Amino acid sequence: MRRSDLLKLNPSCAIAFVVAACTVVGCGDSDSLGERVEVQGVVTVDGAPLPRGSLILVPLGQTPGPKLTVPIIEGRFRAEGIYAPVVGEYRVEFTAAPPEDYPMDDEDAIEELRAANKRRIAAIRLPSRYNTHSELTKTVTPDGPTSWTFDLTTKARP
Amino acid sequence: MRTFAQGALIKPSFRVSRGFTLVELLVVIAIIGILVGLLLPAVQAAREAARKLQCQNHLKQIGLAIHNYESTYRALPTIDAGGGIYSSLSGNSLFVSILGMIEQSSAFNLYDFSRGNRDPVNQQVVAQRLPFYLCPSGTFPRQVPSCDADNGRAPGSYAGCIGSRDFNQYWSFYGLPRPELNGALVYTDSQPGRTWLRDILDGTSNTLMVGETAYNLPDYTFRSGNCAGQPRYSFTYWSNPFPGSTGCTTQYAFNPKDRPDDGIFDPNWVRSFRSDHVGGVQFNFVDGSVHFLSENIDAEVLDAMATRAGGEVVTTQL
Repeated sequence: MRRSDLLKLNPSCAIAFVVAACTVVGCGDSDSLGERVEVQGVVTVDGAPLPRGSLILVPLGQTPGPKLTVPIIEGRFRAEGIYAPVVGEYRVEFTAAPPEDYPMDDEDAIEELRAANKRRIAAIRLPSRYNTHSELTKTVTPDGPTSWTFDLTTKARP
Repeated sequence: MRTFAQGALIKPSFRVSRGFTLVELLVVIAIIGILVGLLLPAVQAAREAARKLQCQNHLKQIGLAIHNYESTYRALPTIDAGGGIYSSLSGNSLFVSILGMIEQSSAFNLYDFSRGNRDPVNQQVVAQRLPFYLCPSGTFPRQVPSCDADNGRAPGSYAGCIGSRDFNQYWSFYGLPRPELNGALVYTDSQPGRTWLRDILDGTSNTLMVGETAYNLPDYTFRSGNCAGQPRYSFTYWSNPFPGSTGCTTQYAFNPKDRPDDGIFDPNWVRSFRSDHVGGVQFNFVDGSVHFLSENIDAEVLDAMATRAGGEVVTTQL
């Protein structure tokens, strides 16, 4: 092969080669579910901010994808980036975390409670209408960041 | 004179045809480099595919062991077993119960079920890294066990499905009745306290039994002990019956992705099925079949498969 032949490489040929290489290797990172919109807001229980908990977004009907859980810290939550919901309709559920002293992964807590003869712990008990039987729905629209406020009550009837 | 002149004329042309120029050599190296670059991802993908297949095989073996258990005891195993002095969770896990069915009879015979998984008597067994309880795709960003809270227990990669609702271990301290669990496998102090194959009314091929967990939550940290504040990544030890360890639910996000140090972490993610595979999680269904579920699966479909008697019609082709 002569040097003059090598320098005659066609630029369009080179571009085609790069495109082919990218197709084989796999370039790009697109979200297959759709457009995600940032959501943030406030959750209060009986007027006070919920110290720790989760907001669960359950997609309804044609809204694609799995559930989304958003941590609530001191009454505030924010879902952005990969954690943000896809545009669509959601059922909203809430869970309140156990008190700070009794985390979900504490393997000694129950033993210590029994040893101390404690029968009850002071915890926020959300009624089932906020989780298992929630009928609260919210719609995520594509017009930019959404702000939601939820005022929950632990009373039997709202 | 003539011959000398011919030789002098021919010599330079010989040099040109015999050797390679530097540019030619570089071009050849570049082409080889591009070809290897194209090939390497394919080789890596093939290796991961092989690991995923082996992971699938482990799930199949666990499923078979659970079916052997069912043939022997006529009921499905519960997530927790024995050792319940303080609560069901101080006992042992489903994976300890089926040790005898997965060709680990010697470990099973060594095990004292009247004591918990953290008891020194059972230390010898729970410290074993059993290869069929670990997914080859799983990576361990920290040494397990290495901290106080690990209690010398070996990690695991699989967890039973307790359904679409979580199990609150503090239920009696909240003044609540026994939590209702709607999955194929349950806790002894949940409602019901045991499941039989006849309870799987949605059909055994439509109900999840065992799925994957992974050490992939960098924002999940130790609360106490000598490692307090350090990343824990996961709560999974194959011998520990805690929810989030060998009992997982679909109530929360499915296959959550946790990015380190972004301050966004939901403690409930510890109780979600998740994996180190690309794009989804593998499950063993009650009929013994193993399927890969995409992480973009619709929440309703996943919940329908997680429940044993929800009455839903699963329309997705597996």
